[in-house]
Amino acid sequence: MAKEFLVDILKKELEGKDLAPKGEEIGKVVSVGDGVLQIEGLPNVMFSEMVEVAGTPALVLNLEEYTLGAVVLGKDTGIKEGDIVRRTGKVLSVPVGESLLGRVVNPLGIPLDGRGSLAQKGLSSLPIERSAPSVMDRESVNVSLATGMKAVDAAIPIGRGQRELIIGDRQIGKSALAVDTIVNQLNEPEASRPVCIYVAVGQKYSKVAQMVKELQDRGAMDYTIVVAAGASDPVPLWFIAPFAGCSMGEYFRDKGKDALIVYDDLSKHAWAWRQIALLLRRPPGREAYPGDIFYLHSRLLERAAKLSKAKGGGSLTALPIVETQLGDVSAYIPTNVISITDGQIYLETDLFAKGQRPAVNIGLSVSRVGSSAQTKAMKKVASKLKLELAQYQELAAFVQFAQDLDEATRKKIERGARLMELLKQDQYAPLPMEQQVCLLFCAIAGYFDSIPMEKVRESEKRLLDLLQAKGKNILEAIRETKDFDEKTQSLLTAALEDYGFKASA
Amino acid sequence: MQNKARLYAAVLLSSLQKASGSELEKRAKRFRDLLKKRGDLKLAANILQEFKKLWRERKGKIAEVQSAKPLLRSQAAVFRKKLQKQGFIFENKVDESAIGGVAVLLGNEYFVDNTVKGKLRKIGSMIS
Repeated sequence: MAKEFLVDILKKELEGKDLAPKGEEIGKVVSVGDGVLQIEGLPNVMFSEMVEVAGTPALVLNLEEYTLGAVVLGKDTGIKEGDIVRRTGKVLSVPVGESLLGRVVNPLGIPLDGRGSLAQKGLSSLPIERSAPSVMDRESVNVSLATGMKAVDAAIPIGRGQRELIIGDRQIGKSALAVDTIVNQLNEPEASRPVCIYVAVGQKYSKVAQMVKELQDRGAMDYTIVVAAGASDPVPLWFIAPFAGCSMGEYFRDKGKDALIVYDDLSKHAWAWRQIALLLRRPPGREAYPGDIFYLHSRLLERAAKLSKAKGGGSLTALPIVETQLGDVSAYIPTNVISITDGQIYLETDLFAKGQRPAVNIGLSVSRVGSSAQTKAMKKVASKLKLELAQYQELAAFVQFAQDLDEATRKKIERGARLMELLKQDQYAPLPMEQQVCLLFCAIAGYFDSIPMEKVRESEKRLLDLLQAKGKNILEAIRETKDFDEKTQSLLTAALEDYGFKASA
Repeated sequence: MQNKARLYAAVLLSSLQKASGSELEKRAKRFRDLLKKRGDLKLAANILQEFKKLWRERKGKIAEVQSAKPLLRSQAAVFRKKLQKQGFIFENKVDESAIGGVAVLLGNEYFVDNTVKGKLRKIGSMIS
């Protein structure tokens, strides 16, 4: 192939056609340091254009009177003062398309997984900065995106096209929750399964590799793209990673498909932008972040949307992750992202230490638009669950002081404790919606009340096994209709009696 | 900061161009005093750098002709004449890595590359 191409080029040259010298606009490097270039020349360069210096791409971010500032998207070693900078005439773009599925790429779309080049795979390219869909192109969120986590699907439902923040301290299961959501899409029928994009910003490559392996082992990599900017990669790559991933997701959104994107995490992304802005001598603001740090995240998250039927009805759901320091949600970046997103899942250290995993604090977490996307079946059990849990939390705070309690209170507390126990879930073990509904129904109807606390999870497993073995018709009915009508309810109650579960009065 | 240095250099140049003989030295001295007075002496190195650039370009922008071997006198004459019409000062620079052909660098902004090295680079970017 390359040979023919070369022959073609040389032939054209002989015919005096193509390679005639063309004047091109250039600039010269005035100074280089910390990945930031000051360039002189390039009189007609555009903002956010890609330029090339010593074979490395750079992104123009500052246009000044005599010089312009650019960040190097690669190693800045080897760039000298006086090096020639060439224009490319293109704004920064990334390859997008189906061939990316199952691949691990860097934010420029270059594969990192050693599975061959992406050239000639029929990929188109999209600029990384694109405008968000307008008001008329959107539709309100109306289809649920199952996470497979009982606590989240029941109490903090997420809809397709929503932006739901996952927030909490370090090492508390934020990424695990997002990865479980990706794994859970295996439970979706293939036609409506969202394409997942995982954007790792400034993470250890060992962690990314481990996650990719887990996804591969479960077959979840087939519909997933991983965009990784590692901890040792140049900071400009951290900065463009979420935007690059977003463009890859938008490709599927605009084709009428569903996509899910996880930004892990936006606090590191904010650090990256702070570093670049400071090096470009932009004035610092609160916590030394530049003035446009809010706009940085709002324009990124605004691109997550549910499109109207006329636009194909696709969606892009965003799950940004933000790390807090010692549970401080009132810091700058957490408050910014909380106000941008349509709700947050709040993970708490105390709950995690108590063994409640996922450590979701249901009282502090909200989903502002997801409830309209929740399936009917889940809605029926979830409303009661939330009430019971709220009552339990109120009583639990006060039970520590009380000596003897009346019967009704004691029962409420026992029920609540069992519900909390039932909301525990292991990693990589997401449950399909119909199983969640059955479990939560049993708990609310009191079938777990007589079981000792330490045996609750055991019984849960037994019940699920039995349902899968004998109660297929019930599970199927819920899955097909997405409803939990009285007929199915009575079927389930009968089955439960049959399995030897007893409801308490 | 660079803009300030540029300004000083431009002022120095225009003042020195009008002077001659012993006046030059005096003006240079006064310029140093001026910097001292304004507390900008730390910029001196930058100013000098800018001034060098401006001094080189005082009669017109430089057109640097890069070739693998020194140009023949007749070739150089053609270049000088053609470039002068466009208001450029001709300069020849030998760059052995060019292998063959010539490249013309007009000022700091425009580049016409017709060297073998440039063509190879172009072919390289086309097939990668």
